[in-house]
Amino acid sequence: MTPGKTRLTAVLALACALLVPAGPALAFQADEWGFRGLLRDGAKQPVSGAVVEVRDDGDDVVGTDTTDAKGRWEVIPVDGPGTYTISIDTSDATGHFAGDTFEVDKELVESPSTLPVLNVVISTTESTQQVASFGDRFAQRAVSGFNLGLLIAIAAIGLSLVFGTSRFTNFAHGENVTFGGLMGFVLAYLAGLPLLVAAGIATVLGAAFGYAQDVTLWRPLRRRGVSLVTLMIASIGISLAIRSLYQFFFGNAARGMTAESWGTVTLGPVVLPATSYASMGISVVVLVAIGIWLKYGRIGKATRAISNNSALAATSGVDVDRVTRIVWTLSGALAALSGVLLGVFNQVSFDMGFNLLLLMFAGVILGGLGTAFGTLAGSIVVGVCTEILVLWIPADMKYVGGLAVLVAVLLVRPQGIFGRRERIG
Amino acid sequence: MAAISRALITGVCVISLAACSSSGDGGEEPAATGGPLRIGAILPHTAYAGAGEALVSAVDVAIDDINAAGGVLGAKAELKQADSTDNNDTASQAVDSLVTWGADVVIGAYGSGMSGAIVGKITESGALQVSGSNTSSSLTGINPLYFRTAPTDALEAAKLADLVVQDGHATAAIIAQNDAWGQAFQESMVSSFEAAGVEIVAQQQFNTTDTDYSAQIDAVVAAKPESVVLLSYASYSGSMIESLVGTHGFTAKNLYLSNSTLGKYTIKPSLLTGLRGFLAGPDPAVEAEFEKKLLAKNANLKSFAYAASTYDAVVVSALAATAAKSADGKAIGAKMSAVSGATEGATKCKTYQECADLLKQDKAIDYDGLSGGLKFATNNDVTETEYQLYVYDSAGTYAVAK
Repeated sequence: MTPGKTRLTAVLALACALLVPAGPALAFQADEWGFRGLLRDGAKQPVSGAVVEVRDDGDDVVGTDTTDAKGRWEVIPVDGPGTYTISIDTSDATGHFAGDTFEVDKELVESPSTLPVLNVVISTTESTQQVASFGDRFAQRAVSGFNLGLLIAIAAIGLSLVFGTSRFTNFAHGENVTFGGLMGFVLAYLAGLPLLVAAGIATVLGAAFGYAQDVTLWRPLRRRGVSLVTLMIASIGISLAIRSLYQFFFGNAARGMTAESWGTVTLGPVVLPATSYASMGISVVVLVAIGIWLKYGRIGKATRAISNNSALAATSGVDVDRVTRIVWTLSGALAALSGVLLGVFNQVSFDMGFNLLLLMFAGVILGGLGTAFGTLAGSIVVGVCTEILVLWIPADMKYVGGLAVLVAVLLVRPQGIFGRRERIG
Repeated sequence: MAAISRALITGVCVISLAACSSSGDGGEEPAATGGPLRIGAILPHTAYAGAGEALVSAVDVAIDDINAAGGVLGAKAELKQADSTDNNDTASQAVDSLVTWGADVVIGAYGSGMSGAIVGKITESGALQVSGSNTSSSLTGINPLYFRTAPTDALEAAKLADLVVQDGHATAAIIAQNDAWGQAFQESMVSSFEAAGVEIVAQQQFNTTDTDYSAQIDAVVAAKPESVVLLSYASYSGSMIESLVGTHGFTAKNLYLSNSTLGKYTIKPSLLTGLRGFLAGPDPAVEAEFEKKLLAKNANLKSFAYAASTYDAVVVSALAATAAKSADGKAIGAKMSAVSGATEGATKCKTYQECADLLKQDKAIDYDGLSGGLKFATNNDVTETEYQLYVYDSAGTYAVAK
């Protein structure tokens, strides 16, 4: 570029500046424009002693600086907005790439949403950072999914047992889960009890909550011979009412359940908080206990008998009312326990149980309605599929994956994984 | 029968006429240049865990200051506060009540999404809408009668990118809330990072109704970014911070928070220690003095975010009305940029009293409010914003970084 041309450009720029109407157009005029930044290599090491040169669109050098020991150069002022070329000469720089030159075009824009001095980072080599391998990511997701599946299972088994004995789907079951979470928050965070103690008390309170629901609502309704559809719709109403009540007392915000921290466990590629493993352990113990109780316990057997044929069980001497009440109590306790575990896993909110309800239904239906062992298997399938499929689909669409598996399985086995064929039709 | 119905109809007509004439006094007619300036406010009184309470008090304080300085247009400014709640339908009904009352200026709403939902209703009534807390860039230029004194997230994104580079990071991951606010912020964040040369190695969105956010966290951790930016409301961020800092080893040196992520948490406070984020607002000395005034109105206030910019929203519209010599929304809107610095050679002033006195002497003014320099761009967004870097201490509370 010749000096004459430069002068012409300057005159033109001046003319333009004069032509621009005063007022709002000058609103963003900053006192200082420029570039500052950082030069480093792909291994995050700073590149010091490199010469940084800023040239304007006429290829004239506007300013230069040399990077310091931290790879940083300070503000190189420029006249104003426009496109500039930052060129870097590493001939005198320390590092294994010395001698290379780099050029980057950067634009300074006059707008209320950008800064007049742009802080840029320039890498001299490709990043050496390795991303986690597919196997590692798969392992992490699978364990997370198993954890979620167990959480769903504990909550859903109660739903399934209630369906078996009372014959209707309790849409208010999600609120029982929330109840556990909220009680956990009150006991662990507000009252400052140790997490395990809080979980135990919350489970007991959940049992009382389940018992109270049966005594005050469902038994009177059953006695009056209210139809199952009506019961189901009543449960939707109760769900809404209880949820609004929670919202009134707890507010909209989600909160962490406890300030307690148990540390982190690293097993190969899988990194999870210790509480997650504790949660999985508790879930497995509880689920095994429920399984044994259903298989060998007197009330457990009676529960299965009612699920199979309520009238026959009654004529064989089973006290259906009593067993149903025990099932409601148990269901409340399990839901509350899962609420506490979910609260530790994520956070406590007024609608946490409601948000889990769809996954619980998926687990129950996938396993076969009214079969407790099917619910366990179905829940784990839903949990694992939901969490693993995010390796391929965006994470904010993860339920799509889990629920697509549900539809696919039901197309092949309409009665669910463990459901008996003769039940259909 | 016919006589009765005729009498009834006449009665109804008389009543409705009376109603018309009484609402006509409300200063809606531009011809009546005087009359009280009616300022309505639509802010959440209890919703959002009480985050809007400070804004409600800020409006009260602003009206007190204005009226203590002689009011607007020769009369005391009138105020009507309506509870917006967090529900757009309820807010819409509250807007109706403000419009019926004859509001010339409506302050609010708290959230960007709600403002988008009610801006049509407010501006169609001829009133001016000024928000002190909307930050979504999706609202930029939405209506000529919509102004805001809170800066857009786009500028904050640029500040965050600047901080990330300053800390020496060349790669970043973004976790954003999957709603209008989060998506707009994410877009701004991406363009700011690209401008700065920071490579974005992972972008994850989460739904606020998801059972957990482990999928998003794991995806971000798997990409091994040098820095992570969390664009989410504080009420959803607790478990993510727990997981990123507590489990996956991120620290205050490479985890960055948005303005809305700064909040009160119930997680272990040591996990929060040192985490940083920007808030638009006044310098600490001005802030402390203003907070005292707010606490005098409501001793229970805990968070003061956007209170200063809401105060400015009230004061700058009152000044615009004074300059316009009219209580008409459109006339006020036309003067908004003139009183806040768009006029050449205007005198800078910092309080309503000072500015109103200058206006009386027919001098051009440049109101620089509590929230720093205030100037409206041609699209009615605010510029010249001052940002303060906030940092969490070991007790889990955040304050301006020293």
